[in-house]
Amino acid sequence: MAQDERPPRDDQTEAAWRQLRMAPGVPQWLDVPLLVEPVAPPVDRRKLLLRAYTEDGRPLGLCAVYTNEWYPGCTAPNPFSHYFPVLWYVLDARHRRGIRERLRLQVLKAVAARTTSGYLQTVLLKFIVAPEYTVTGSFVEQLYNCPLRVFFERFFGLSRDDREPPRRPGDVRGRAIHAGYRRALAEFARTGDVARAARAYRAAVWQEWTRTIQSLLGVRPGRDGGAPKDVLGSFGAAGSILEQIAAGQEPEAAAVELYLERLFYSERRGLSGRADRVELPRQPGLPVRVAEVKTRSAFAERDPLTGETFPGGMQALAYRELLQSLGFEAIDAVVELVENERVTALPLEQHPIVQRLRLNLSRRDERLIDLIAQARNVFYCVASGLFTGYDRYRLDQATQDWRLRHVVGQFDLLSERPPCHVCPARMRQVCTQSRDREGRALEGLFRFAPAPLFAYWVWFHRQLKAEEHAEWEHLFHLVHTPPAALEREGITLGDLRLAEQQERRVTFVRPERRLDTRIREDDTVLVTPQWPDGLLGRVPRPGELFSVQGRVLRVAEHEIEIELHDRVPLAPAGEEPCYRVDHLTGFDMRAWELEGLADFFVASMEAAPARGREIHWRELPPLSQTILGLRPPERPRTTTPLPSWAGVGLNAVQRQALAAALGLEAGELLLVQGPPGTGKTALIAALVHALVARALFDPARVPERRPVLVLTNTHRAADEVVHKIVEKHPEVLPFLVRVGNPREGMERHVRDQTLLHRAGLAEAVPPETDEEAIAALLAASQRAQVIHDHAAVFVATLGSAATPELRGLTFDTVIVDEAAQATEPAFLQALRRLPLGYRGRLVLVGDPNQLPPVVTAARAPVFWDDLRRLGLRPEDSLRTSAFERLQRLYPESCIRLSEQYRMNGPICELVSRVFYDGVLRPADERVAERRLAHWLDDHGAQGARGLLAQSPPVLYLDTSDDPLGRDSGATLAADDEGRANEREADLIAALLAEFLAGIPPERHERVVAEIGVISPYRRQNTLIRQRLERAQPTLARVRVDTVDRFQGSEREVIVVSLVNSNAEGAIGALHAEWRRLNVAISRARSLLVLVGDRRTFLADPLDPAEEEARERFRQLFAVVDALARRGEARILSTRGLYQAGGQA
Amino acid sequence: MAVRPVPEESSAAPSEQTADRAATEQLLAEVAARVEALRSRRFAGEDPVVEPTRVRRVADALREGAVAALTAERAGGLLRLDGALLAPAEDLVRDELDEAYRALAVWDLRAAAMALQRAARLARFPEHQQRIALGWALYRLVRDVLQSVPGEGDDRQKKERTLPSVRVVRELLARLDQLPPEERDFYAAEVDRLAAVWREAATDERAWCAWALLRARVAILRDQGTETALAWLLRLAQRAGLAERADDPDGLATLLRRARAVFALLAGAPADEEEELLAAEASPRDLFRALVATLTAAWGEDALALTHRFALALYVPQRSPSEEPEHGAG
Repeated sequence: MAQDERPPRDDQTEAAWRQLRMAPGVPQWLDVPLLVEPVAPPVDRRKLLLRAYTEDGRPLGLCAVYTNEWYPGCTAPNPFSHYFPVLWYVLDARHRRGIRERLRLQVLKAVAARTTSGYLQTVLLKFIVAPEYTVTGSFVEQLYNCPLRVFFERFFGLSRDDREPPRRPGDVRGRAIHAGYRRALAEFARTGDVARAARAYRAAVWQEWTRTIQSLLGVRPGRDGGAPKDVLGSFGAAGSILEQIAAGQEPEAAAVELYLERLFYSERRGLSGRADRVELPRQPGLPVRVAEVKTRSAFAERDPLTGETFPGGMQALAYRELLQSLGFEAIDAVVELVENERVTALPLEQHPIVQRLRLNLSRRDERLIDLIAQARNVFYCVASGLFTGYDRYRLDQATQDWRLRHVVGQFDLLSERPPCHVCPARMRQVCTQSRDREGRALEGLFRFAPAPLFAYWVWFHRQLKAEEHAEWEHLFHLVHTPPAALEREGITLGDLRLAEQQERRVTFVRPERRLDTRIREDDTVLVTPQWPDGLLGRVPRPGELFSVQGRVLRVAEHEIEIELHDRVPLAPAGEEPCYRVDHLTGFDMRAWELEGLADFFVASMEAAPARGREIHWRELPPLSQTILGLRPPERPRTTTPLPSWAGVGLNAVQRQALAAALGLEAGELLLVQGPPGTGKTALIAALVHALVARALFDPARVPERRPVLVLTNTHRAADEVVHKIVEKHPEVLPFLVRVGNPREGMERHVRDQTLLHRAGLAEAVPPETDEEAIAALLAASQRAQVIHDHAAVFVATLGSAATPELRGLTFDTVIVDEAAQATEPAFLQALRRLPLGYRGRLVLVGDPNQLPPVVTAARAPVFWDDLRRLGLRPEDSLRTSAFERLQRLYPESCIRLSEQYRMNGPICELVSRVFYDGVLRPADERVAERRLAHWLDDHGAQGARGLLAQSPPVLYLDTSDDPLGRDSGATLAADDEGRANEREADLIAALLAEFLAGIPPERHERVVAEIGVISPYRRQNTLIRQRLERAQPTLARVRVDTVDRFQGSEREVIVVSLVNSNAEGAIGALHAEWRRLNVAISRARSLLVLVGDRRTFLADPLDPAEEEARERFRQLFAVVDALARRGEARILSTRGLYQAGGQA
Repeated sequence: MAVRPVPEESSAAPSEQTADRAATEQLLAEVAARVEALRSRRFAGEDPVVEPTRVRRVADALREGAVAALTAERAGGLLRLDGALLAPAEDLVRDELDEAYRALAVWDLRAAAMALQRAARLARFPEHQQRIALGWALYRLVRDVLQSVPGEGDDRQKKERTLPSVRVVRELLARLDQLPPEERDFYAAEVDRLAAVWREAATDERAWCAWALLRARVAILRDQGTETALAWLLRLAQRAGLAERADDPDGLATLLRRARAVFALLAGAPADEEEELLAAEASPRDLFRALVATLTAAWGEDALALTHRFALALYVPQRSPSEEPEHGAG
């Protein structure tokens, strides 16, 4: 695998340290990483004494940091220096939080100073604090616009109130022109053909207008009834923009590689981002050009002389610095301003701050790095919460000065006043510093919050921030760790060769070594070429401009297929065409989770009747009190009479739940627990139907208040709700909107309910002429507006609850499906859609005995006694859903569905006795008597052979005595997901191949679609897939997945590979979450196959956290034994099974 | 002048009233440690109540009580004593509030803001918290009255002809449920009165001149710089038609000439010796007094007293004679 060719960073650090001492008293530029720990808790506000180490822990000695970048012998201190205060706040916070790990600094400048007593003291002058926490260029820009806004938005998580109607989307025109410009430029650079560039421009503008419903709903005819100016302008700009593109492309300019929206990341500057466009010259010697494209609507610095604004200037400067830190020497950064249908290039030399400081951009200027470092460090300190912690007094104090004077900084370079017009803190009236000083500012927002509300916010906020930190550390780890080590962790694949590239779909192969990895289908990855780049002079690392992001389509034994955002570069002649693939973590949900949490906090406080004093929790809205565990909800009114048409086809318990939901008053909450297969979605569909019918006959209905919103944790569940409504209550469909754009894999009848589709735009290709495009847009917009105005039911995911389609709308009833799978902050999205004061109804449907929310942070959150009032326990975390907590608090307010329609009698009994106190039962005899043989007969798939075909409903293949059955251990070091068990994989492959062998080949596909294999370990699943494919090519289509991804699905046959089998009795963290077992075994309709070592699972717990899981496994095997005694299960030792002869 | 050297050792024995340094430092160190511990818990999201820890000896209990009380006071926390929750800094809050409101009444914005900030750190009684909130709203109002030039400003201000803070105070007053209705009514009326006076100054020459006189007076009183005071006095003289007076019976024209010389120098105009001398002799106080005298004479009423119309009146609870403390008592 290609190695990093730069000298080891620790050697650089030691050399720099020595070099300092060679020239005492002379400040020197170092730019090396360092780990530090304070010698004593930071008390002195003038000096910090630190112990310094290299990154691998070699001690370097003591060093100091003084205020104002002073050092003994210094004659010109900088009174506006931010370095000391930021470091002081960071160290103080770490001390208070008991963080013992050393702090990482990228030391930019230091001096070996001679003290009055004559000894040499190393003094750090400039540094990046915790560079692993990268800040994007746009955040750097935001910090220079208003530091306080960073506090409100990036720390607190405040966003605009989506209950307020949206403003007209005036910036779409700019964005459309921007998109058109980018696409046309790329096309012209590729082909040199103006006509093709013009088509690309039109297509991009069209897409921008039709991409989001916000744009579409904002298209209003002009005064004369014709097309609006914004639409006309964006299409009409093509002429001048194409002229500019053609004129700008001089012959030598064609010799550039264009990189659009590429991710880049610098751990030396703590910066990351995506510049709109980077032009890399093919010939050395020419500068790299970075272009940031902006529209005038963005707020920006105003030039004191000309009055001109400069949007994106600081961002471009940050990206310039970032690229330089990566090793690109000459950088030419520019902002391209889209204005008046033209694109104007604004050189950074004209930026107000550049002019005020008289910066010379043609050479490296320390002051420029200072500026960027200042914004980056202050952003880190504030946004990470280290500046204020959760001290409510400090939090309020921080809001008293928009320049955050405690962190000092040269913010006198900023505008006179903050750019309040775009700020949510001003709109929500929580900022006391806003320019117009209007409105009823919530003074003492933090201090006056009732203790339970504040504790609630703190507890969740801190965990979301920890998640955020874990995400950044993952990226840093990728860049910072040798590829071979990453490969061992299972998150990187190296030495891959490009086998095929069709447009953006690529296949990489590695014939000489198996792809033993945790990377799987649908993962987001970065693909990085592994030959030395000419300009960089070395092999690029992930995130260094050359990486292309993509989504994994398939992982086979020796090849991986990926769909990329852009084409990968091809190796120049003479270079080995090697690539590496790195796993990026999943979709970032924390931003909107933080927003939901902040919204709950602010909306609860806003609804309080008084101002200017501590609010008592009784003054909060009733629903807030209920959520905080302070006010039990009313007992469910299950006897509310149902109209004759409501609840048709539901069982008795479902009808009770429906009655209770319909009987809710404003501000009330209902919990419905739905164990596997109990018809949760059917109940939701019936409830939606009843609520819509009721609302249609309500003469007092407010147009902005709609009857019902269904929110789910996943797109799959949202589609399922729509599907069920289509199936059971098609009369609701004219009033139903599936929020969001049509997605790949969406069923047709679900896609038909998206607004874009209903407006006739989902599959529309861009028209051939501008006139046609404009006419089509207007017509579609009018259709969309009518549909939107009459919609009564919206179905969305929790993550899209703040989507433009829902802006300005509130709902009488919000139903949250899969509520036990959503983190509590995610669930709070539901409250954002209730009317002010939460005067709406909330129905949570879920099952806390199934999988909890997925989170990454492993560390248990800090707990204190006040949290017990909220119904929290010390072992709780973000994995504890609101449903689980509320059910624990108010068990009498929860209705449990108990009749299930999925599992046959024996499987149901297994699940019921282990997880539901034996109350779960098949809904009727037909379900109870379901058998695999019946299903095979019904589908013409007779002839199945082997163990599966002859098995009773539960088959347990016990590997306890099988000498080959031991697991691999956690060989992939990243976390517990790296465990595998080859014997189990082989057994499963043989079992299924044998089963399929007797079935007519034309039925294979149908049968295979009804088989699922589940294991909690990604690595095991990859192994099973590979073995299945090898055993029988059709078996490659068997769905093999983790438990987490199987939730919500069901199959006739489910095979569960338990994997863990070892002498220590280690079951690992994944099995310690006992709910995973429930989900795994409750997916089966007719046949459940368990493969594993019961001895390992019945061993004594190694960790107290495993106790409950061990108990459930004990119960599981006990019930299997009992079923076996009745002939409803079979237990078979795997010793010698499918060996040698290949038969059982 | 010769300076007597400081003696190496103090000759006088400490008086009986001198604090015991070592014991004081020890007590303060204990308090500081307790405050620090409390801040750490606050940093983690808690807001703990200070409680004296249990000790065996009476002497220790006294000391522990003192440490706990001081800790609560320094940190603005609550103190649990004998089962009751106490707010030991509330008397300080009351004093700070008095100071803040008095400062607002005399347009001393800086002093008012500092006192309000100090009070806000400590206040625990809801009525005190709301008086602080009202204090901040009134601070904005007084600032607006003082700093927004009547008849000038942005379009919206001109159009609405009122101060943005008026609405802030009015809306806040409606939600200050811990203050007596009379107090809220009083300040509501006071806000209306100040807004009306300020609006009048936008259209009425004499009122505008009184406002400008106030502006200059505050600049002088609050040390906002000679130039600021002179600038407002010059504007006032211009507006009142006193700038071009040829005769100089009261010396006003000379004083104005001196003031103008200051700005001529600031503007970088070439200056001769006489000009520099004039500028050096410019005195805001003299010019202010002269203008007050001239305007009083011209208007037939005390010009200085007219500026008092822009002052915030403070609410004083009215008691019946039977509730008033007896003369001479306490």
